[in-house]
Amino acid sequence: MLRFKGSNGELLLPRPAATLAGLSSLVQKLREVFRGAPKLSLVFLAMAILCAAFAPLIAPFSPVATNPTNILQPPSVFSNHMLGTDNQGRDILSRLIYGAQTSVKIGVVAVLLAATVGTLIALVSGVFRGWVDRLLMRITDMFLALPYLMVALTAVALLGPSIPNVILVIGLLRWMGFARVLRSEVLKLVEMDFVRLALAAGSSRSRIMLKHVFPNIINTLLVLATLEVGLAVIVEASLSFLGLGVPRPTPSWGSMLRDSQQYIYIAWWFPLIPGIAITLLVMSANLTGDWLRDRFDPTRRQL
Amino acid sequence: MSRYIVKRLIEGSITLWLITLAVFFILRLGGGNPVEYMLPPEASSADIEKLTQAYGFDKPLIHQYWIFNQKLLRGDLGDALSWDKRPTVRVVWDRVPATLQLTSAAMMFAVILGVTMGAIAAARPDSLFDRVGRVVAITGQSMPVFWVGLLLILLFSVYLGWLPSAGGIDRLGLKGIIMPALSLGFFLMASHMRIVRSTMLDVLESDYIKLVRAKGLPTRMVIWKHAFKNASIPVFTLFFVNFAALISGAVVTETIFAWPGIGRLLVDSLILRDYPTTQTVIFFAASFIVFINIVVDIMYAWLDPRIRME
Amino acid sequence: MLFYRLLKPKPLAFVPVVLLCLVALAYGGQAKAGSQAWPDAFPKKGVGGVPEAVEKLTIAVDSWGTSELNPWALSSVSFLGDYFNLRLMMQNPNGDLAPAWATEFTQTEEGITFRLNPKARFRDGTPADAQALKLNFEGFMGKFVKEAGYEAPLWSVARVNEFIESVQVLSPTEVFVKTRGPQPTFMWVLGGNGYHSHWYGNPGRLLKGPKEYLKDRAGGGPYKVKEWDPGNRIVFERWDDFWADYPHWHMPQARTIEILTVPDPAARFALLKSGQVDIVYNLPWALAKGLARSEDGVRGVNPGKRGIWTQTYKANGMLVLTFGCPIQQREVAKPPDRVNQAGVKIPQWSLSDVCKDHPTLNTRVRRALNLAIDKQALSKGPHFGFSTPIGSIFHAGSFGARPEKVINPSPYNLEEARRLLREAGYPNGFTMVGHLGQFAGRPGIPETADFIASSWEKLGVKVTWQEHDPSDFVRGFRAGVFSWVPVNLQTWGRQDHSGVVSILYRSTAGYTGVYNDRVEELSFDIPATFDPAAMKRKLAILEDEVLSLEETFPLYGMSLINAYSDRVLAHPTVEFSPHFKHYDLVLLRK
Repeated sequence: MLRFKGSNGELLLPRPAATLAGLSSLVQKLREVFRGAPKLSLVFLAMAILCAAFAPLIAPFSPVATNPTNILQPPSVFSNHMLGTDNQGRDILSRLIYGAQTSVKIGVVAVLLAATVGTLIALVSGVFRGWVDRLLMRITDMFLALPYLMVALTAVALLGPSIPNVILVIGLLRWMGFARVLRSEVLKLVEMDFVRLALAAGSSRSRIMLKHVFPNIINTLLVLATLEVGLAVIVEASLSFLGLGVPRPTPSWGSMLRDSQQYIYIAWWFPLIPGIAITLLVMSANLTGDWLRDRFDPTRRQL
Repeated sequence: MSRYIVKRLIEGSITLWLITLAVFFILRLGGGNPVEYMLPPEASSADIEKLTQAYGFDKPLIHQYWIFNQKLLRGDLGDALSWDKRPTVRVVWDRVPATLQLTSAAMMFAVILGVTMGAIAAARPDSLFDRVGRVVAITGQSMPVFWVGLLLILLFSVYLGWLPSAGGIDRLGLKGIIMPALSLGFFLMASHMRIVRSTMLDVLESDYIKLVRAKGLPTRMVIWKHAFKNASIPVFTLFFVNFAALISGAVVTETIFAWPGIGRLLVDSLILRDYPTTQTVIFFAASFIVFINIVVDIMYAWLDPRIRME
Repeated sequence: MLFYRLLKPKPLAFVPVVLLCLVALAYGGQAKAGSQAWPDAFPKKGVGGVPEAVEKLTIAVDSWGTSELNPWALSSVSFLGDYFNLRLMMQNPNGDLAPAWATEFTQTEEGITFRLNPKARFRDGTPADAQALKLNFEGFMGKFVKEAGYEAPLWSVARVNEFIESVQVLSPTEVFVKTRGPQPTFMWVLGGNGYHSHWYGNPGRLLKGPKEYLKDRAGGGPYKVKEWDPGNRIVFERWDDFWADYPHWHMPQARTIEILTVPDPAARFALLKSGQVDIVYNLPWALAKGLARSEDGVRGVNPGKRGIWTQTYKANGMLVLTFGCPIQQREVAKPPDRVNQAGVKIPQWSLSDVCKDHPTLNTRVRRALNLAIDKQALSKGPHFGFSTPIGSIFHAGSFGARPEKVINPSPYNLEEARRLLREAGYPNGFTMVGHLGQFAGRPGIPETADFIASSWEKLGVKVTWQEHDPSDFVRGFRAGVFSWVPVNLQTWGRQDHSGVVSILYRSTAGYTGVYNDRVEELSFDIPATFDPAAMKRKLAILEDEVLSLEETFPLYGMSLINAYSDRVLAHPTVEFSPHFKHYDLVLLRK
């Protein structure tokens, strides 16, 4: 008799030859994971992370060494400086590569901070309910009423511009989005049978949060986090642009744009190129986030 | 209904008061004596001492906050330390119209252009227009506001020389507002485009429309109008919220274009360490946001009685 | 006390008159050769096609000082006062001391006698007489604070009280100010010449209180305030019956002056290019390179090339590199509760963690760091040739500057620098944090920071620079606070040729970048020295002392560029530090 199902109920199908099977099933798995992915975006994100991690190995020139005889050279395929030089004669491409460190570092860590705070609040709020929920939501509303960029500016101006401060400020002002969205997810989950059963069986609330609820909100969390990275990069660039970013001479895309302002009439590439880098990074993060969202919820239309 | 309104108003006031409390202390804990920031380098320590006493900055922080609160209840948010010692309320209020002009223009641009382009893109899905439009929309949501401003200056001021890049609307009339409004509203326009396109396509492919079409009853125009109306809902729902967000975001645009609004006032006051003015600007912006939220909540509560019961 | 021993009352009674001449000579002697002295060869109002009056002059500036108008309640310097209020004396375009409200003054160690111009009036018709001057001095001294409703007095109230004991009206046009002991620097602080910081208003209106005063801001100056948007824009309207009739101060050509504050330099330039403004104050050096230059080497004269033209003004301050750890160490070692020569308590310094074992405590390290900076390359490169490397702590044109020191910056020697660092025990360099402040009207500072970071990297020294707002930066230098260790870039030097620079040594210990007992002694001595030659000698001793400590290294003197539209025919103003001076003397084509 042909048996299609094994003892555990799994489908029994003829298995192809061993080694090729291994490889092609790995490829199959990868294909499955990355189904419909925005390839260019992922490639760019990978490039940005590589630049951030290995900048000294990748960049052709030093980002700090000035070259007074080579000031404001336009970009040219034939020169050493493909993307031109800035007002100190430094290679713009190298500064872009090192600048990726700042953007990636701040983007990722700030979002991690915001996500952590937001997730904690969502979990506590959704699982404990009652007055705890109401209090936390009041606090969330209060933070939401703040004019975001204005408060960020004020805080960094007072704390002093530095990478940790910028991360802190961005992280502590963006958790509300996470808190709200995740809370409604948590509320839905808490109503479900498996959680009710666990409660009835005597699990503590914190155990429920960790074991039952949290793993089921990870998808949404991931989507939100990816989308927030884009915003964090933009906010960091804005703060640097206003003079509240990383100290000189550390390169950052936002402060490059700041330095470029007074040369806008004589060096078009200087304000143009760092902005393109920022746009590409944010775009890649956004498209990846969109893809993740669609991946986890196929009923949504691709925007 | 009126109980709900009163409840929301009280909650809003408490939120605002908490915000002023937080801002007051954060500003002062961060820095030292404001007088030391105000005076020129030539001032001697005797000068500083005299003025610190005159302004009352030598009193303990709690005492200063108590005085601040008393004045707050009278509607007096203190005098600016730098803007000719005028009352901060007056200083900020004078700059509000400029920001409102800028934000309104940006909003108009974002809504009109965004909705129109989104509708056209939905009408011709996957056409060249649609594909280009989607790229523009995605790029638009990824560009920092200030960079859009710089690009516009590069194009219209530096290369084409058509538009002036600074001045404000009083000096330049409409020409002066085009670039700032474009740069502030670009992000939102892109967002509107995507939402409208997506919602319209959803409606056009919905079962309801399919059924109605199958029955052959309404004309194309009616279908389009229905789709369009539905697509506009998210735009209008978020209209007020977006407006409030634009006000906060105007900070950077006003700085680039030398626009005399409250965003620029905030940046200038921070540089001068003028705490009273900084507080008042944040207070105004937060009040506006809270007010908008209350209005929206009330509108929803009126439309949907279940919400009032919460 | 040195200065009491130096000056004895009787024999020196007639010296002041001679001194006055010497002072005038000292000022006059600073005018540079190679340019036309004003007013010769300059266009004149109503002559040769230049209109007698034009409707409007518009100026874009990065800052006009503080946004305050009440001269008795200023919290800092506000240059707008030049246009609608009075000064006692002023600088003419040649930089010479010239009459304004007062036509002349005589100073002894007892006090100063001012003779006022009998024609002087305020815009509302009341005479600007001796009583008005007395009331102004008393206003500065804070006498009317409670009575007239001022919440706080003028920022310099304590200092003015240190200067002035009493004011006597001798006649409607003569006032005697009794000073507390000899005060040779009185005029430089209160007089109105050079970098001035006090303005005299209409006491009739000022005594009505700050709210009343703001309703009609007019004084004895050639303009009155017509529109006022603090921090953004001011519009002045001419007084068609302006009383003064000096060659350097008379009824202006422009009926209206509008001044806009536009901090972004590219935006200022855009306003000029699009014809919305006639003058831009402080144009970035990079933009000036491609533009036509003024005909005159020193003052602004339209070169007739039908387009935007620029004038480079020299020495609008200078930049010095300062190492702060040595000062902290010295000060911390001193006993608490000390009092300086003026009897003011010296705040106790504390030693920051950074400075405990810092490499810069070693003189060799500091010397090496200075030798590693190629000042010529800095000026030619990122400064586009517009800064001048300097070897003196007094910039060119300032009182006390010795030309041989000014034009001789310290050399560039990277090898020697490396050797010194090795000797000091840092062959691989070290890391540190530096501080700088961004000031309006002082271009080039961030570029210098980047350049220095690059230069020091060659030694293995990694520096990151924290930028501060002006108010934050200045605060960090208050005695006892001195936050900006271990290294900072300071911009200073009084931008006029006066000895006022010495006053700074006393009030802000860190402002000179160095502070030891000898410097402190001299800082009290110099402002009390009447004889200009003696003062110059002491300034030389001070400079040698400062430079020998090798904690302060002069870098470059800054130039400031103004850009003018073709409409502007001339802007006769001073060669050094054109802080808003003489915009009333601007002549326009139409």
